[in-house]
Amino acid sequence: MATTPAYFGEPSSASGIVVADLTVSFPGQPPVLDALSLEVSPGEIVALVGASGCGKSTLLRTIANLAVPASGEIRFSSGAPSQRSSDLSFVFQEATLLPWRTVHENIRLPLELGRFKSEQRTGDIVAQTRQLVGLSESDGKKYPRELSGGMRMRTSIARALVTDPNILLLDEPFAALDDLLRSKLNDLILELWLIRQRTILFVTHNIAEAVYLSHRIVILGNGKASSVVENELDWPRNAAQKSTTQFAALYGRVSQKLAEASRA
Amino acid sequence: MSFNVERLKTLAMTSLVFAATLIGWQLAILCFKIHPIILPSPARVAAAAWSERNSLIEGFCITGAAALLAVLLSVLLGTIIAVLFSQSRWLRSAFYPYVVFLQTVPIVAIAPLLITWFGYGFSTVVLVSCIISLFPVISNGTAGLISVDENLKDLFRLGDATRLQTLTKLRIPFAISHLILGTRVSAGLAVIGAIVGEFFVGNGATGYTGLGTLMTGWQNLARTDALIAVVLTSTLLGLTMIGIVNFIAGVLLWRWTAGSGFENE
Repeated sequence: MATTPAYFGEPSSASGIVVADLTVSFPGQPPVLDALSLEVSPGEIVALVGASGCGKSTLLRTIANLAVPASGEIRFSSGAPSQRSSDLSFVFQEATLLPWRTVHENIRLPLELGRFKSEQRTGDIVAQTRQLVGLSESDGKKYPRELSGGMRMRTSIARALVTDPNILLLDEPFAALDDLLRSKLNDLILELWLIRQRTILFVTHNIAEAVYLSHRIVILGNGKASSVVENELDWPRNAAQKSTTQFAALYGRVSQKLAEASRA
Repeated sequence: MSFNVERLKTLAMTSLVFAATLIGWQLAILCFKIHPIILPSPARVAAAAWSERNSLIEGFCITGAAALLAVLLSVLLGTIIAVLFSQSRWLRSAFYPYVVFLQTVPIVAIAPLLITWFGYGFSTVVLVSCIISLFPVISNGTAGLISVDENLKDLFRLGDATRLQTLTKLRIPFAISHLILGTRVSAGLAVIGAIVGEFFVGNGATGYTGLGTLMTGWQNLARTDALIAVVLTSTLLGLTMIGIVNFIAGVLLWRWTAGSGFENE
């Protein structure tokens, strides 16, 4: 397992998210999110599941300040609402890399922009983050077109981690990958969480992934958090847990709640 | 390796078509007894090209310089205008119709006007050529600058990127392959523009000897063989211009254009 890079902050610097009565709607359509409330504790991993179009991604985008809510509020336990996006990172469904930049340069990008822009040498930080996601030095010199889908996604995750965010938002990041890669990257997320214990909120369509990765699974339906399933699986997680009856029971409960939410 | 074999195949096919055209041309003249003033044989054209080689080379250089300068100006001006358009929807809706006007204006109609303003000379030829070659750079450049992937824009928004950072680190690099496509069209048009400009400038008898002036001169003398030679030289100039753009795209700007198809041409 990778070791904690020196520059990363203490695990205690994770922040929580409080979503209160959040309503988001697009012109001429019923609200995507309808007075949704949700609380995520500092250092918690929460999986968001729900039918397509139920507003999972919209919720993530609103938390990231990429979409404007009609009403309601989003607060972070370590910051004022006005600085809401100040310490969170976002991983998109696609790797979303700049094709003209090498892996190293793609990972470095957030450190060149706006509030993260720093005069100090960023080379070490970038190299450490690259190692953290399992990319070699020679991978760092490659261009996105020379990488496999899994390596592209690793680069995208490294880019999200390079600013040492308190909150990580993942919007179906592994949906386009095959099962083997998906489970490898799931383990990477768990490894990263064990090192840094940051707050993670992720959207997925894959129930097994939701169960394997989370402390809690929130099922969205009709623009609300229709139900919450507490995940009692032991930590640290390992692949063997996937074949236990406890895992199967959780899987069944989430499937059932999901079906109920879709019917409602 | 297979890449080079493909290239050789393409070259062989192109040469074969060229040879077949020459043979067909020569045979047509022999079979139908076509008068050399209507259609001279390939051999006559080659002879005319050889005897007029100094004029043709000079014309190639002069028209080439005018077209090259016009393309450079178009890329410079076009990029600036495209950047301005990409920064303001208001600017775009107010001025884009005038840019389209630039595209639709019959250059033959305004060339005499330009001569009235700027005189019989090189600068007028460059101007005519620039007017005709500017539009593709502006339209492709603007399209490239504003069609940036939404997720990439979100990424920059999340990083609180300044407007300038988004422009220099995202929009412009993203638009380079679009700009190159526009420039390639523009390079071909610039040669046409320069020759059209020279049709008018040449009439002023200023001692200007671009390919366009050679064309009008040899047409008046009914020298069809030399006329065809100059047409072929203009084609060569057009190809050279596009070759230069492809070289710049594929070799100097490969970082931004790789994967856009330039390396295969």
